Amino acid sequence: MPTSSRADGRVLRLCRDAAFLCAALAFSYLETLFPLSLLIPLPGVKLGLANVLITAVFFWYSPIDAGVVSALRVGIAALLFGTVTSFFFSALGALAAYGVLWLCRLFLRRFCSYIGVSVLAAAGHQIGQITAACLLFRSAAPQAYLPVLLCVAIVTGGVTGLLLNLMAPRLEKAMKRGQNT
Amino acid sequence: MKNTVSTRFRLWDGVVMAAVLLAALCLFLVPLLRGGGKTAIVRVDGEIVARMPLSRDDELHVENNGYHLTVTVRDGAVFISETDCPDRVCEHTGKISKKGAAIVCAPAGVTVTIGKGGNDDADFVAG
Repeated sequence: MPTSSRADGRVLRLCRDAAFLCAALAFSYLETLFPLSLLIPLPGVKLGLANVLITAVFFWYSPIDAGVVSALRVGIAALLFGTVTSFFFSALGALAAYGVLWLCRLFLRRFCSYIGVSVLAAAGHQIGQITAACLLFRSAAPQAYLPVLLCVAIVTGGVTGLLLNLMAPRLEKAMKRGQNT
Repeated sequence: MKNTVSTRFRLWDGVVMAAVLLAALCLFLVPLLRGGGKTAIVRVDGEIVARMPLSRDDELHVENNGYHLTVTVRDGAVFISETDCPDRVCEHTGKISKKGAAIVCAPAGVTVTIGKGGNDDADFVAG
């Protein structure tokens, strides 16, 4: 029956996005437990494990699902373990990264693996956060940190991209098996 | 579900990483090529609280959001000599003297930037 199968599809999509949202939140929490800033004494340096999932949803399913998951993650993470300031920073970062994902989808996805995409998204995220800092301080001073943060983005984006490259084929297989049963 | 992106490292991944690195390098080098400034502008929460000429050794104590900072001008450069802020980012930035260079202490909401002197704010771009 077409109607019921469409409803099934919707429920499946809702559950799937909810599952990814929970996983993304868990990753966000995990990162607050082991802050990377202990190794690199700079504010805003994070591996961005949650972004692994956002990127995955973006390219596996649809940009809309990824946008919803990302927005909810930022909001809920801020409520759970953030402040107004941290919400502002992560919101602008996530928004910029989401924009970059769109650009990658439009122009780069034929040429790049997840590594290139992740590096660019991480760079976008940093640019968004610097913009947030500039707005907050009402000064252009924070842009002096951009070169350092971009170098950090190459490393963190590279690591998350590598994770995606390794994870994606396996998960694809697992999901297919799950859908057939 | 389908992977619409390659999962193997491609040439363009390298190009992208190199491009980001190059952008970072350029952004890093541009302030170094600029000439030295004449004044350090100290801002708290976006408001200018002091202009310190780099030609005269000086010290300034700033307090905001419960944090204390000491801004020191010595030998034509400005740096944060003391802070009780846990990040220490501002301290690690070290001495700055070039136009457009900046020290930022995010928790205290304090920034120190270099201007030409007088009322020059031209090196500030709206955020």
